[in-house]
Amino acid sequence: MNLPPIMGDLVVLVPVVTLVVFAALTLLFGVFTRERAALGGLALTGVIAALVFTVFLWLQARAGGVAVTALGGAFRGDALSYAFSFIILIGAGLAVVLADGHRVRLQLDQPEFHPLLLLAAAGGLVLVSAGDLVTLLLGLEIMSLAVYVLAAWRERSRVSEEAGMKYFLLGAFASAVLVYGIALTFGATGRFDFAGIAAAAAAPDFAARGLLLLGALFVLVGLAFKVAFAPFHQWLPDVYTGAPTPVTAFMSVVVKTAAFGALLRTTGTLVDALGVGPIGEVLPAVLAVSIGLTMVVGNFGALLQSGVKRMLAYSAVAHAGYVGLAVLAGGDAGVQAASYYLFTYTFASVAAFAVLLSLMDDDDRGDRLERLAGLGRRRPWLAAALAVIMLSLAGFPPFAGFIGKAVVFQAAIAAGHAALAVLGISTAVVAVVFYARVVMTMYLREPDAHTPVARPIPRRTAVVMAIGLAATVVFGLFPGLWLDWIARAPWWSAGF
Amino acid sequence: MYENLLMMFLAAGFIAAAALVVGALLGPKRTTDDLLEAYESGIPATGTARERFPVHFYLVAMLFIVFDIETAFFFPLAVRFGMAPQFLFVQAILFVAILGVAYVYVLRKGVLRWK
Repeated sequence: MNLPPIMGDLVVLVPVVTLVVFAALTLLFGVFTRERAALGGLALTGVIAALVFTVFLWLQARAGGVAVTALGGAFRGDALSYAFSFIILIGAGLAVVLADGHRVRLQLDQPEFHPLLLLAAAGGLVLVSAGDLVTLLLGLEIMSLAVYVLAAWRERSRVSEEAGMKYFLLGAFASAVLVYGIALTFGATGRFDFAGIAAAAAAPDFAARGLLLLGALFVLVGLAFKVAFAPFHQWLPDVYTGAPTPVTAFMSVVVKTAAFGALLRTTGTLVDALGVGPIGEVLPAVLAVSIGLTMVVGNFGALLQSGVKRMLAYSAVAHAGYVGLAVLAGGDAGVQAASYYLFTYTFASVAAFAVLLSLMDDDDRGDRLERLAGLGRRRPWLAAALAVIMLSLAGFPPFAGFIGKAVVFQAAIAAGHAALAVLGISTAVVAVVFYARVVMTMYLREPDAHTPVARPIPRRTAVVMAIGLAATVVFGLFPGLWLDWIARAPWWSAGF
Repeated sequence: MYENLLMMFLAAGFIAAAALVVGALLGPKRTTDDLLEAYESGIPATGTARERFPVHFYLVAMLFIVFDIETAFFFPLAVRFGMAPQFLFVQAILFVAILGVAYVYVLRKGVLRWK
């Protein structure tokens, strides 16, 4: 059979196809049998298979040294898409295992749960591999539609329903803004693909720079919603708090990483396309203001929370701000810094939610800080795990969170955003307060009669915690394992 | 190029506004119970439209979408089938397989079992 040449190198689609096939298998398995215990394993097999294919393609691409495309350039296999696909799949795998350990208690064993997780991850892969704005939108919608449902998963829970509804309405609005931005960008350049937009804007007789700027701003707003840049972060605390905790963990790693992959590619292209001069300065300036606001709002918001889950939600906003510094820095250095930050954040975030899951009530409620009182003596290992994660998230050496912040600030300063980096460092000091509060409550505060006892940890959850902890320590001590690997890759930013 | 579009918006806005204004100025101001009905000459409305309806209908909607998408995709495919018969045939099979998953799912969920 002869494929039309426009189809390109279809092998780059294999990880996405694997996830979709396993989503279908898991769904059929779920409706034909009553064997609920096997669903998580089947889903995990799919994620691991996709991960193996991604690594294989990545190695092959490094050896070949060129980006491959499929479907007429709509789908790209380059350093950015492989690195971010890798992070997404790691996060998805950890979230699947985490959900599996608590599946009966949290009613996560309906046949539809795991297929939706896999489809959301597949959408994430499409999002970071998109070579044009239409494919990007497609990936965003595949991912978002699945996550809207997952956020509202808890039956007869008002907060979960509220989370799903809020996320859906605001997400649909953001998608509409994004579509409008894509249309304006197309109107200005006549192209959807990133390479074409760059080429059209570079032409000497390109006159529609103002229109392109308008389109770029709308696209930025649409994506800023997904990564939760202030002032588009308002949905996040409510959605993260209301969604079932394993879904919150999934959102904080998979959805965030995928959206940042798309944001890096889009802003990289659009900032270059707008060029220098008064018009070219608007987009970075808007981005800088938004990122500064995000760091302030996220950290001070987290400071005011009395619930640990909600505190982690606000801190997710703050971390989005730090990754935003890398987006603003742009270029290869920015992409590499962002990938390290998101890679290590994935482990820390999932591990934090894993610990939290064993401290909350049966119905996934109750996350007040006082519950942690005396945990250091009653459950020393659990407390130590949470302490390490909190210190890493706060940015203490020698953990991965410290290196993550260091490379991000470094990239921002090198790109000439020293003032914003200083703001980032100052807000990181604020962050120490609320992370340390968790540690101090565990070790210094005496439990009273009402302090609930932490439940025994399912073995699978313990595995997630162990992986998260090990990665936080190992990649903190040896950051070169990721950074050198990424830096040595032939980095094909030319094609963005 | 966009002037035509602007003219169309203005014309549409003018006609809509004119219809409302002229109607309000010249129209007779009689209201009876019948005139205020949602369907003036239809059957009398009973109750509100904002009722809860059985969640079972989402399965019917899925069934509809499965077959609707299938036709929407197959018409253009049939028209262009001569271009690359083997390639399009494989594509059609894959497409039906994906829809088949949704179809089997809806069947197993009991879409045809009315209680």
